[in-house]
Amino acid sequence: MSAAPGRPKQARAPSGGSDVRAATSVGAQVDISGLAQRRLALLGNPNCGKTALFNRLTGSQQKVGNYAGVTVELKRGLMKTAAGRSVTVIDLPGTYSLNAGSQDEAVACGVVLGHSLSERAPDLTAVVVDATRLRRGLRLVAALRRLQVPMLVLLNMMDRVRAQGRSVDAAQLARTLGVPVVEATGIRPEGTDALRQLLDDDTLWHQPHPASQTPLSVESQARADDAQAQAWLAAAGLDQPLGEHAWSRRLDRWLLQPVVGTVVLLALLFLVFQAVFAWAEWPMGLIEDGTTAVGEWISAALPDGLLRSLLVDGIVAGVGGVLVFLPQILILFFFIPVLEESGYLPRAALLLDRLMHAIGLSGRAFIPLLSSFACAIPGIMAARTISDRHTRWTTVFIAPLMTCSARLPVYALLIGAFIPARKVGGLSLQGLVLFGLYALGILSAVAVAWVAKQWGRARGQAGPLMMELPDYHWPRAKDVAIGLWQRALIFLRNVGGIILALTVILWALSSFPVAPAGYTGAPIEVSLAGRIGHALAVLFEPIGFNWQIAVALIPGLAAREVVVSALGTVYALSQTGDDVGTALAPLIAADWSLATGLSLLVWFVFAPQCLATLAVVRKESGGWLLPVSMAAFLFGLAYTAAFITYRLAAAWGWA
Amino acid sequence: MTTSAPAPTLHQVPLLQWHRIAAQGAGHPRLQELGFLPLENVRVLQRSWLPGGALVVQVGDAVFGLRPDEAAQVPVQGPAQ
Repeated sequence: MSAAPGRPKQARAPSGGSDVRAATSVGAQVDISGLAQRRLALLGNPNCGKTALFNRLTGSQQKVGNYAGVTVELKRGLMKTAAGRSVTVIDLPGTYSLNAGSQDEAVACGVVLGHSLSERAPDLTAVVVDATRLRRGLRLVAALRRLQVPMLVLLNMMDRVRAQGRSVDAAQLARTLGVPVVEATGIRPEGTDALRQLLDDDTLWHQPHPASQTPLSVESQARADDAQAQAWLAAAGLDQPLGEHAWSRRLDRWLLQPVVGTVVLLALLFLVFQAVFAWAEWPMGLIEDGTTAVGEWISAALPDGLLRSLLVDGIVAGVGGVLVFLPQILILFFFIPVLEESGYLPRAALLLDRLMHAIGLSGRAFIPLLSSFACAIPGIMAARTISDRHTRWTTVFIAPLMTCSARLPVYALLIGAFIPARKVGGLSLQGLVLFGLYALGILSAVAVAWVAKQWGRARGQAGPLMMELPDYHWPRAKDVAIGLWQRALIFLRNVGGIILALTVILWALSSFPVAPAGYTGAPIEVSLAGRIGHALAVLFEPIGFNWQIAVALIPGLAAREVVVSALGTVYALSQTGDDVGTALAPLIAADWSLATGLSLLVWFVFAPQCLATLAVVRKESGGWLLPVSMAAFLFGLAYTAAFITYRLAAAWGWA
Repeated sequence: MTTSAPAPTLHQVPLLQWHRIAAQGAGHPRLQELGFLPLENVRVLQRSWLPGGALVVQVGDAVFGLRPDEAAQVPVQGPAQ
């Protein structure tokens, strides 16, 4: 069934240096294709180094991860060929075959085969093959050949082959396969030169595209493609298996050992959360001092009036309150990509599979859920790698229950204000409360997943695990640094954009209309925000929230951390006389009861108000049902939990 | 002992011992796509101590985590040399 090697039409296989140069000179004359941008898709197995190659080709920097499914969305970039012509490169999610097993694979296959509605079929598909895993890569090549998709082959990871004293003759392989084969690597600047030259060959771009095919059964395809791959390897004299990655096997003996592995996993998770709080203390202190100094300097420099109020009460109090949390967020976003790129995360997922399976999830849900501790949005997108529908949507549903980094500012503020800084059994009480809040989120997620499992049981059992554990490698400092830098920029852009804007709007709402002359209370009471807050306070009164909190929750819909800046602004404007300018924490500590503080803390464990998360859920699920039911469910959960907390605390005498 | 009595599936084979996948290949089509193909070399690298915990399995030079019910869908011939 499979095509014989080297069909005449594609027998031309430029790959060695001289062939490529000849092809280049021909291609350069016929460049009249400026009208339609040429499009090249990168397809390959998971972990074959595709994304690093994409970064090198296009110069666009994005996430490179050592875990199946890091590329969850199509990424496009522009590259230049050796002759300077522009080509659009599409980076596709990794796939093992052309029969999609999960949604991210479906995206890749759909695009390459021209079934995608949103993306035209590419003119040419470059199959990225890990040279240390030739047989597997060539199975994909065989599948594409069977469907007559125009392609070329990129050999990646050749340095590993050479390190073993072996070689792969690209020219020989090209003759055998009947398609161009060049070596390409993303980790060296000159690693893509051969590809850039090859892409100037015009004949490559003008190949007929396949008609729709009736698919074989998946099983016979897999066998036929593998038989073809083995036949090619034998014909090219490459059928000697390479030595395995001994270092990875040795490390796995310990890291996947049931007891040692679990201890290491727990220690790592503990280290991450410890670092988020301990390491961040010093830079956070610096930012706090800086904010205070700026506020004082402005107060001294400007006369009392609207402008000074806007700058000090609005902008400095609001934005400064959020900026303080940059160090913690960066530390969290340092660890997750490092664990991901090293190849450790799938191991952690494997160790946790038994536990997650018990609540109807799979180990695969671990990565999306861990990412959700930073932010639910990448977590929800990463859930696309879960092939089973029930598991995937349950994961999406519980992702917001993982305490995201945007809630940290709120927790930190409230814990600092209400929980005494003393030791309990040698541990900090504040730290314990924080740990308890994270634990509460996780436990509720477990409960929700378990309930969903009982519900979904009628529809069959949880989806498969079948997860590859790639070889370990050291994360490259440059990739991590770029990731952190992007993260910091996103955060600062938010602070400078939406948070600043909302802060100013809230300041305006809280300052106008101006209190009549002779009014003795805080001017905010008569303002628009004050009135909205008083109206909403009826709804929130049963759970112990005052009108200031009710006001602050509204801009918090945009992003949870905005609640801190909103409280900062509302309270800065609520002060009369000498109190103005006091830091927020002691203010709320004096103004709220302990029961209110605890109730608000618990509210934020479930806090439904993050429009961005709901928007992503809508996009992912393609309908309103899931986001709306999620918002309603989380609101109900938050309200109930806060109500119970407030009533219990009040009964305890803390109201 | 175990060497003389070949285990029928990957789920039961002794730790670290190489086996060959039986001629019919893995029972689940997805497993075949991942490389659990007829006559391929496989071995179990690690077993969980929890009942129902995942196995770490090597096929050729790739390593996968499989649940017990997934490993049980990979029929094996006697131990390879």
